[in-house]
Amino acid sequence: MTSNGKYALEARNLNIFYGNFRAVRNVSMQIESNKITALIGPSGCGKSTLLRSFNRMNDLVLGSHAEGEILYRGQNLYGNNVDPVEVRRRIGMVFQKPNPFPKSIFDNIAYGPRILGQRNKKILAEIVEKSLRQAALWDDVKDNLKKSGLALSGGQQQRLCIARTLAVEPEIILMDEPCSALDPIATLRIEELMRELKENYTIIIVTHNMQQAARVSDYTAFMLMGQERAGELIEFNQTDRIFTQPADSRTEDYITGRFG
Amino acid sequence: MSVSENTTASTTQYLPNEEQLQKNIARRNRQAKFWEYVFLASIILAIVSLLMLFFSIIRQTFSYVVVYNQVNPDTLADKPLEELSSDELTAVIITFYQSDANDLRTLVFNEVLGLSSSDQQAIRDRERAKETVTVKEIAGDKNKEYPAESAEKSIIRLTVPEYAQFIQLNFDDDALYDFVVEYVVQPLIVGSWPLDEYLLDRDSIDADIIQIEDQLREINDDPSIEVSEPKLRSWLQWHLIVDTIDLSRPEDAGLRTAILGSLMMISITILVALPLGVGAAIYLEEYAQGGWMERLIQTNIDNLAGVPSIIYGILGLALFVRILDDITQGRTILSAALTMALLILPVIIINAQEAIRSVPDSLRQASYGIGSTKWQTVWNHVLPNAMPGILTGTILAISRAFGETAVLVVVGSITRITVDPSGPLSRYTVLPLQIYALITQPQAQFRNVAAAGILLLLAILLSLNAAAVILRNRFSKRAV
Repeated sequence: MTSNGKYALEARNLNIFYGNFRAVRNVSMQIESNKITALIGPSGCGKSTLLRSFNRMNDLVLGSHAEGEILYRGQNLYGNNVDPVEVRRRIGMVFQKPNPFPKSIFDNIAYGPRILGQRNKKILAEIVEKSLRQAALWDDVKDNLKKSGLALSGGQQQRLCIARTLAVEPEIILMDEPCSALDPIATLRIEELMRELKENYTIIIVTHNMQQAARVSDYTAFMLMGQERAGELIEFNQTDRIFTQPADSRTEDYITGRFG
Repeated sequence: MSVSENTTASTTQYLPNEEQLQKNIARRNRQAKFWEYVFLASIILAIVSLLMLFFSIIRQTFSYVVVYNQVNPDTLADKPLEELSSDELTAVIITFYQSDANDLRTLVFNEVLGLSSSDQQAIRDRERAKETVTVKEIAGDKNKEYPAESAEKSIIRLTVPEYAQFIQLNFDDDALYDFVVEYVVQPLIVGSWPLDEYLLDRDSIDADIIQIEDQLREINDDPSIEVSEPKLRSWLQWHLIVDTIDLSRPEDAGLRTAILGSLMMISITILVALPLGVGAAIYLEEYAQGGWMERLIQTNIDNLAGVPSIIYGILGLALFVRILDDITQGRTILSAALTMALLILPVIIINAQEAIRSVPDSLRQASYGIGSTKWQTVWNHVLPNAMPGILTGTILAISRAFGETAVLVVVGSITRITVDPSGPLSRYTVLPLQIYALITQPQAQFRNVAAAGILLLLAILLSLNAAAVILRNRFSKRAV
């Protein structure tokens, strides 16, 4: 199945540019399958840019381009014959602010399968139920699937967005600060959900919240703005090692709250 | 008086001292109040001007008129006209048209049989070819009653009593009475005064009436002539919508041709401009990469929205009327609609762009994030959410195009046309131009017709806009 085995994604000497500005410099990292990897670091260190390069969402920014490789199943995502539309289906994304479509809960989730060509109503209903169950939202909404997705609470909206991503059966889920707009209880529920999801999915999460990174992630990557304001990967290791015995003094400074 | 009295004032040297702060706050509040009144005044001014506009139209639409009967009804019979039976009314017609069989025939053709001018021409041609066009044939063709004894006679060679009988058979009592009033008594509106003038300045109107009577007596050499009492007349009547223009009799003037012309033109304009405009906006907002070409196009579109319409008229004349003559057939509705589409295209594009830009980016990202293509994102998310804004722009554009006059003067609308437009390639006139033509007529009563026409124009415009608003609300509801 995969040529790079236990790794879901592998970045090799990845550089990301916005026009002439280099936002991320020489990042190489291997992301293990069925684990949660957290990207932490101060604002402007390029962690969101890095995350968005994993499913080529950065392509949507005018004037952006990438150098280097991101290997997914042995294939370079930035290769010539790779269609970003297909990449984004296999590598789904959950955003900072919950962004359900202004449609019903059902349509929010059925939208993905529909555009992929699934028209069978029975199958769509099954997908919707399965996705909502996986996102731990089914019990909350099963009686009013016709209700607008925007009528849900913030935490429910975010779980709806996760369910929507799951509906197109991705392998990897990218989460860009998924809890920053949520209250602590909703945050805990999302974290719990992430732990359940990693049974079947590989998750990469960007977070500003170091406790969150410590609580949920298996691996942590610490990034920092380096020369010419380009983001660099300082340290990447198992989460408990990063938080207990960081190899780099800058990592230690950051996680102990000495700066950033 | 203020917060600072209870607390110990502790402003540093960087801020003005306490006394100055107090003074400042009073001044700042005065300033705020001043601008509040300025804004209120501008709203009031706007409402007052709108009301004045409406008033000036209403006072002309509903006016007091005096009528002069060209034939005094009292001389026609020994009873008042309203009390005459059907037979007696027919007798009146016969007496009046005794020596004018031709006139009566024309009336029968137009009012009873409803024959078009080409039908009438065809009948005349066949008669000239020594053929007998029978009453039976024509009346039967139009499903009308006809006197049995004249069934086989030529329809253009009946006698006056026969024509009168024809009329009587097809009209009920009321219609017959109306026919006698219109074609025998022939009332003529000889004076018209706006509503407010009549209510406020009766004396000068009485003087005017005396003057009018004097003139009529002099012209007709009949000292007994009298005009009716002034009575209120609404010029906004059904016949305004269903009749064609008549620039000799204001009471009969209708705007049907112009209404049809306007509606037909605006439909084609929208059909052309809306897809083109929205398409251009989608390209500029969603696909364009921001190169110099696109910036140039954008600048041009922004500027084109402010170009005076007469210039579009000249463009339309050169392009659609002259160069593309083979397609548009010259000065036709199609030429006008295409020119108008050019005129409103920038407005539609700019508003659609604004609407598309206001669709939150998070929605696009959500769509891309689950593997939508660009087109799926635009079609399923961007467009539906931008639709209310796009329709708002369209409303503005329709309003502009519907009331536009200068362009159509140049691309060749005609004002004296009485034939309905039959399709995109027919000659035409439009409401604003027709209203202009009415106002420039010498007879004062045409201004009343024009005012009623303006009300009609506003009514049509408002219904078009209402349709767009309903559509917009349906879209905004779906978007939430």
